[in-house]
Amino acid sequence: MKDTPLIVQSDRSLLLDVHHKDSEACRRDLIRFCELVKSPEHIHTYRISEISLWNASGEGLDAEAIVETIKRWSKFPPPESVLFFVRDISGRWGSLVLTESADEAYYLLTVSIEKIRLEILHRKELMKILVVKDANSFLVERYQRGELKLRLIKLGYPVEDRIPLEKGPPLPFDRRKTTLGGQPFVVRPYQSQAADALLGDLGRGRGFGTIVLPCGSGKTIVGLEIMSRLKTNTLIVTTNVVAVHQWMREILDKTTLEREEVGEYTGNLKERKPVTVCTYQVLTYRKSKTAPFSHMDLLTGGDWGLIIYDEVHMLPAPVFKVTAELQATFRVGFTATLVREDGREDEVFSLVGPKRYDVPWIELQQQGFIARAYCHEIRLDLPKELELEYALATKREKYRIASENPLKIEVVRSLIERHSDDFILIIGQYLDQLKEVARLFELPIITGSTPNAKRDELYGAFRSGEIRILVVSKVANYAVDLPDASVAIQISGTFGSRSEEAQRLGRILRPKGRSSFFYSVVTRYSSEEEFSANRQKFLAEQGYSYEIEVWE
Amino acid sequence: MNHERLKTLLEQYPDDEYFFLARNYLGLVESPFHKEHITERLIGFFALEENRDRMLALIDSLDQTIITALLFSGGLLFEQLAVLLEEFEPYGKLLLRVANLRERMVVVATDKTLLLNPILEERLSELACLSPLFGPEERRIHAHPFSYRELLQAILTLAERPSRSFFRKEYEALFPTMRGMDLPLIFETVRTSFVKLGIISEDTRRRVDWQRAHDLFQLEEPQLKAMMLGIRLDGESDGARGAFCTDLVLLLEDVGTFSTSGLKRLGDLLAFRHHVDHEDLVSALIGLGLLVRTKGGYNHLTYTLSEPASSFIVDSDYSVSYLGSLAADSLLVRFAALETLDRTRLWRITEERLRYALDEGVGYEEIRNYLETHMDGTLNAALLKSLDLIAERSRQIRIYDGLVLQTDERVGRIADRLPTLQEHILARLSSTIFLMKRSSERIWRQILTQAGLSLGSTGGEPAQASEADPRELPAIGRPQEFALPVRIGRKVTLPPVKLDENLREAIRRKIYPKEVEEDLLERFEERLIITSSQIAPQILHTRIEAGGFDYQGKISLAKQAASKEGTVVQLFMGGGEELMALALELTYTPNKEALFKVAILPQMEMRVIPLSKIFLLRRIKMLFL
Repeated sequence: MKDTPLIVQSDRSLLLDVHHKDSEACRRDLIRFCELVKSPEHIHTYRISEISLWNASGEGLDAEAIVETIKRWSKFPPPESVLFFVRDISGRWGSLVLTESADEAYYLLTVSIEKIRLEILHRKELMKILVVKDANSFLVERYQRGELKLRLIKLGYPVEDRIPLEKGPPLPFDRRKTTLGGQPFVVRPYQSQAADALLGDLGRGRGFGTIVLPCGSGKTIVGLEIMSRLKTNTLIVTTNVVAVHQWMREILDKTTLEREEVGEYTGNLKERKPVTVCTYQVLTYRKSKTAPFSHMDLLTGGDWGLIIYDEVHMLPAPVFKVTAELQATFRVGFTATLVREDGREDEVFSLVGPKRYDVPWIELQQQGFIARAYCHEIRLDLPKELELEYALATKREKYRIASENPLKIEVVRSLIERHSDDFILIIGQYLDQLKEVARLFELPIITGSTPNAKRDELYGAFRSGEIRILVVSKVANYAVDLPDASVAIQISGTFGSRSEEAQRLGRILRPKGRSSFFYSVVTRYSSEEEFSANRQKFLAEQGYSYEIEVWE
Repeated sequence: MNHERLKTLLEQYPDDEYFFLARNYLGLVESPFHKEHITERLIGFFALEENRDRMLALIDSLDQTIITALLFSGGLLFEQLAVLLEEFEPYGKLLLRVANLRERMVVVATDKTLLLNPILEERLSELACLSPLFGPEERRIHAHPFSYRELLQAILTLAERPSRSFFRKEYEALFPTMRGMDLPLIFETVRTSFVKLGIISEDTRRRVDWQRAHDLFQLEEPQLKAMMLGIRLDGESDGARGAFCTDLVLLLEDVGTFSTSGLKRLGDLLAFRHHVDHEDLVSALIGLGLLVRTKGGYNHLTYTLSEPASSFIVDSDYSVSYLGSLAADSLLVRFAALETLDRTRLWRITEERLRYALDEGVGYEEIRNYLETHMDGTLNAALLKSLDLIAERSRQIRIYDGLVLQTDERVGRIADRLPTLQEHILARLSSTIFLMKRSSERIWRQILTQAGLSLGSTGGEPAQASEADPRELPAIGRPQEFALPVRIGRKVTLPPVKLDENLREAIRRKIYPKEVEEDLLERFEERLIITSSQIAPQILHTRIEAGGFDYQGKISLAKQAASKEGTVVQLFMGGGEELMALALELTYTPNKEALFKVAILPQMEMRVIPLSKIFLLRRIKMLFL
């Protein structure tokens, strides 16, 4: 047994002892060919997958180098099956190569292994989009490039795409050293590393991918860094209008771009500018279920040199399809929680690009780049008069009764008193409950029906300190930047959604010179406890632990 | 002791065999014969170290295979040996070789059972080897980084999950090193054995008797495997069955890789040794996770014995990981759910498992102390609080088996008013104690659960446990000790057999009549003469044969062979056909043509052969079937 920090398991997971003196060096090596699965307090889990290996191959890391790295760091001789997997899977890289063809309408797919070529010939779903050219190559229409890659990768064959990404129209601008607000602006090391990981030397196989960073760690800044390196027309797609405005505000505050160069493309305003920020919602809008998407041409028809998919885990299905056609464009996806309830994480990797950068939440917390957060679960009983109603209710009704437990109001009151000088978000799922809280404590409220202008106004007031407590529904789950919020009180949530819990915590993670507190208020002895435990899984795997208090 | 055994055996030999051996090894034996004295001299001959060295130097690979088979089996009839070794040598050649080994006194016989010469047995066992009798020389190791006991412990924890089927597809992910193996079969086989052992009971719900499990897990690995195998094969693991299983388990480890016939051969040999049958052995071994089928045969699956488990790492996601093996009576398996059984063992403390453990009578304090004693550092406050709350909750409702339902006030209030529950309540003993109908236990449990009232621990003695008669269950204990005399080498390479040319010269130098010299040289070639003291002017007719135009010689030999029951003859027919047969009778046709009635070996097919058709007739000495 060697004194090294890594244990390789037969299921291709790699367990890293983070307290070992060499753990950081080991981690740096691992992220080149592994994905971080979870990073709790002591043992971080990485995993070797097909995608992670092909990603490494694409960057020039061959199987033997990976095997050598695994052997070097492994405490015990690694399982032969894992080494075999690495050699087998990495060995497939380069057997299918996509290049330009003489005919401008097509790309050329060259297959160097006869067995694979025969399999392609016998796969109807592939031959629908391929034309046999000669004994070892096929032609594919240009717009089918992404679809072809996706179908082949699902069969276990990665395509080495040697067609360089197309450079979009140039857009000269720079990052500011001092923001318009007069603050010094410096890109943090990990933000710069994330941009490096995506763009590299801008050579083959680079310029597209997914970046996973904790909420509050400044993914927008990474986006700006990538934009300022490429200096080209850019489309940014995000989750809601408030987030659109935030992006625009950040761009104008931290780059030399002028307002007339930055457009908003939302339900209210349809500006097409060299840098345009839009929502997924507007892209997927259509008048009827069978009608064409009215604004999808913004994505497909715009001459974009870079597309940024914010909160890429929320990418809707129609955008998936279009993204498959946009393989020639530089593109990046951002997320904090690449957990999709529809299990399509792999497609995100295939179409937007592989995970290029990931960093454990706790690591950034330790370095002070995100706030130290204390998580509490407060459990309280149902009022006696609801006990029988709960007992007789259906499963779904039970959850709702528990979530809307009226005694939660008292907990909220007490927490507001406990944090009398903090900026507080009260977050919930059920509108009646939220409205009741807002009414009782005379607090402003933002829900789905709040007009965007009103939302901007309230968020603005919260940011400026005019409002200290804000009641919000799930519309504030994602992409809402409220730097001073330091307390979040979650009074109800979407069943067991792990990403929602993490995103809600994310609202209070901006570093602000004080610790943050996340309270999840849960009805004791109810199904809400089980859902709550599930909701906490993602954060637990990131190293957060919930202190449980019983409210009596 | 060995001398005595040989003496007893020799005393049982028929005179012709006895005197053949005496004369061959001792030279001239003068009458009047004093058998006891002759036997002493014979034993003295074989007891002499240099004579034994010479005998052993003449062992070749076929001898070695036969010796190995006899050593493993503890003694075989020739027919048994012939079946076991049929893929190694043709019947006739094997028969001649066994006859030769008996003349060389490497093999002795009693009541037709072939044994190794007791005086030589220890030395011969050094030459015995596992390959090629059981498998190829090259071993392919398929080792799991955990012990067999840990595998069984893990399966047992899964048995406690509230699932109708014992195996579920998702369990495959828990055993990543066993990918490709037939896990459903392993689970089912282990389940059956555990049920037979009384470790799992499956009456109203599946339960584990952890005390019996601990008794089982206290056994060392080979004994544990042997116990499971014995139980699987015929529901018992003591006596001869236990010895068979223990021998087999140890030899599986030694051999590692088996040909299909090799594994059967090993099973047969050990079955002969211990006088047990072993039908279904292969599926039992595969089912118990001790063997896996490969392209050309089987691989033994080995499990790694590790150091006792390192300190637990209890992480913020409630996972518990460690290196090494848990103790046989580890409490962790009672309250944590298995996540991965691999180099690093991963478990997770879950509410379901913890509540189950509490329900089964494990004390909460005991669990806390266990965790605190076995982990690095202190227990995370959040985890501790969470455990406290689960324990508290499990105390809220206590179901007295069959009849008494005790609740806290809150639940009592609900139970009191739940309309569907009322018909199952026989009486209200207090506001929190209800007397429930035993007959509808399943139904009222469901009503309570549907009402969102999680059921707590079951108090009192479980009914099925009190009804079980422990005397009906197999005893769990150490099976019989390993019975083979020595550990046997995988591959023992013998030097090429070289006859002592000095002896040949010595025979030639003697001025003996030609027929005496020929007889001596023949015995020398047959490896019967190993020292010069054996060279004496006598004819022993090692091989008696008549052929060609010597028709009278053939008649005389056939008559002689048929006169002694069980005499084997070798017949060389025209066209190159060669037969081994039992001589039965010599008769004549009206035309005076001699007909030799024989039983062709090994099928014992009766044939009457005109003696004129037999090109060469040879009587095999010493082998009486």
